[in-house]
Amino acid sequence: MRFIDVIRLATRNFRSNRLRTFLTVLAVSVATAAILFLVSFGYGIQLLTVQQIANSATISTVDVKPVSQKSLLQIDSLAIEKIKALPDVVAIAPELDIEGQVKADSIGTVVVHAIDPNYFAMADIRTTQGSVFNVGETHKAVVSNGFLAQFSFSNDSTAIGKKFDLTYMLKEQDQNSADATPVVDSTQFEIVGIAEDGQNAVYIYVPLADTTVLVKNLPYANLKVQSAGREKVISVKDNIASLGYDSSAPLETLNQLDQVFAVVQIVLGTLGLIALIISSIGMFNTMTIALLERTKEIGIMKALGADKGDVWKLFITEATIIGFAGGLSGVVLGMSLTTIANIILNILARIYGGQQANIFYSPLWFIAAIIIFSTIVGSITGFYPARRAASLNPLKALRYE
Amino acid sequence: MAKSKVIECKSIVKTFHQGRNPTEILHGVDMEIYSGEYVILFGPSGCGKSTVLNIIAGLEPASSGQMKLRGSDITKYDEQQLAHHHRTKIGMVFQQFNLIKSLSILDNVALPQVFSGIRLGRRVKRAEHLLDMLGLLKYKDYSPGELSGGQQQRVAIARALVNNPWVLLIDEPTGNLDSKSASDVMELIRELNEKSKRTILLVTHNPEYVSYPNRVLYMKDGKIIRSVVNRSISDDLNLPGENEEQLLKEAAVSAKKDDESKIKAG
Repeated sequence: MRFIDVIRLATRNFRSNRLRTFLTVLAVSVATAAILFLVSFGYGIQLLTVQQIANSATISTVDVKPVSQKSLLQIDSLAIEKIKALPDVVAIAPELDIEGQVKADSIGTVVVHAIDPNYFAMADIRTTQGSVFNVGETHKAVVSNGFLAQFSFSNDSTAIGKKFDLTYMLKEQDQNSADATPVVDSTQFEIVGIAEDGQNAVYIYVPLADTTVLVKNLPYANLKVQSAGREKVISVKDNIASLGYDSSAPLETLNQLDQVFAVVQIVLGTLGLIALIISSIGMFNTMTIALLERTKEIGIMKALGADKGDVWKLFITEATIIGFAGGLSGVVLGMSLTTIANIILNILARIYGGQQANIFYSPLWFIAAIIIFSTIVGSITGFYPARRAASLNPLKALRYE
Repeated sequence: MAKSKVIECKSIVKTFHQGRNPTEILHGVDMEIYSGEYVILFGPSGCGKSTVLNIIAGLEPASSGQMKLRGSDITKYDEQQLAHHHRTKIGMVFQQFNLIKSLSILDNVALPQVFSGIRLGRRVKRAEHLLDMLGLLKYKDYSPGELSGGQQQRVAIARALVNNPWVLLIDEPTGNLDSKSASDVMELIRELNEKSKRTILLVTHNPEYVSYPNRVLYMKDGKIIRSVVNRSISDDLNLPGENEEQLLKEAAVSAKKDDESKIKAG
């Protein structure tokens, strides 16, 4: 028996039993859609959380600090050279922390984070207004909300472009000394961005290049080291640690997070799986009824020369096609539901001023897997009826009414 | 000139095991059917004639004995060989027509060829040719339910012919038909034998038909009791068997009485 004829004969029953076929496919499809919806919810939440914690650059970065403030191994230019020489290190962005005095409407002290512009991306620092400064730009500042409040700038886009004076207060190497030497930067700083930060800390980011002209030989507070990729992060982190520095990677936290979400996926997936089991029982029932209904037909076919294998193939194919059709339409249904849910949530977010985000996310491999899975479930439900049909006695089947 | 044997049954015994007591239905049936011959197996209902037919068709195993189709003993066949036997060596026609309702007339006729793995194009051509021959081509896209009983039985005969079998096995073809359709179908069967030289074994309990074939085998209580040759149409076949018109008529009357008494008793 040719494969195309197996398909032709197996699908003929869909046409002659439209309603029952439709209901059976619908049951599988709703179950598949439920799995897709629930697991997509899990994936969406996971993706959102990961995105909130870190962008793709921070996943491959390593944070480097001195083991303590008094450690002999401070992060100086020599340390940077050593770390740069390590394998899989792509870029390094240092941060220098200095106390500063700002003069605008009022005078006050701030923490000055003098950083390489690449630091923003590597540390995932974002702005709510304006933007960060770029490589080559000088005397620009990204400021905190606390800074705006302290110096009476308005906390909105009108603050962008405002200017202030900055004086570095350099302490002696001995940290306990209260004396500080003021070093005045003669050029005014321009506010280019407001850092995203819920706290009220008073600090600013300025280009590292501006400070190194005036301030020499201060050890860096920390470094962001960009590795060659997510898989290299841990080895780079370990290599830096072996140089005697305190190194950590956000990826480690993310890995722990992945484990938590794996559990969430399993729980959600299991709920969907229960739905699929219920629908596959329905499918099994359909196939068994189909067997009884077609007993006479099977008898006819066998009397006309169909062998066991032919009959078996007809039943298995029918069940497999139902499973596949259910899976496919379930994915369409599930994807429509998640898309609609995402749109509604985003509309609500816009109305209530929340952040817009997609709560549902379905990876392509998962969609493929779910279709394959429902197809396999389909063939399994057809297995027993197919075997019974194949071994029917043709004469008894012919007499069956 | 004796022609070659198509079917040769030797002392076929069939025992059914229903409940605790085995019942012997056939007590050693011997039968030979020659190529191009039209034979009716005639007997009252319950005499075991359909069982004989099913054993020849390979749908039912014999308890003992041999059933040879052109010399090959089908009682020794395995399942695959039996399926092949159903598919290519015999054409079955049933009292109930046994068409598949969810297939068109054309697909019903072509169905045995599906199991032989023949391509759609060739199948359709063959089935259309047969339907045309039987005057049913215009119904090819109909479903079986839309046709009359007589038409359905003719479709079933076309289906039995589709794989060009060695022998047609026909079981009470007119049992479900009115008398007009019945005689049409019986006429068609006779034409298949006379014009197309088909070898045919037909089972019936209707004595009206005993004048149709070359030979009538009378069966009673699980045994063939007589073989009567219809010399008027079978001169060239040189068949073994009795030749008495009177005998034939007697048997017909007695079979009818048997039937009537059964109906009364039942």
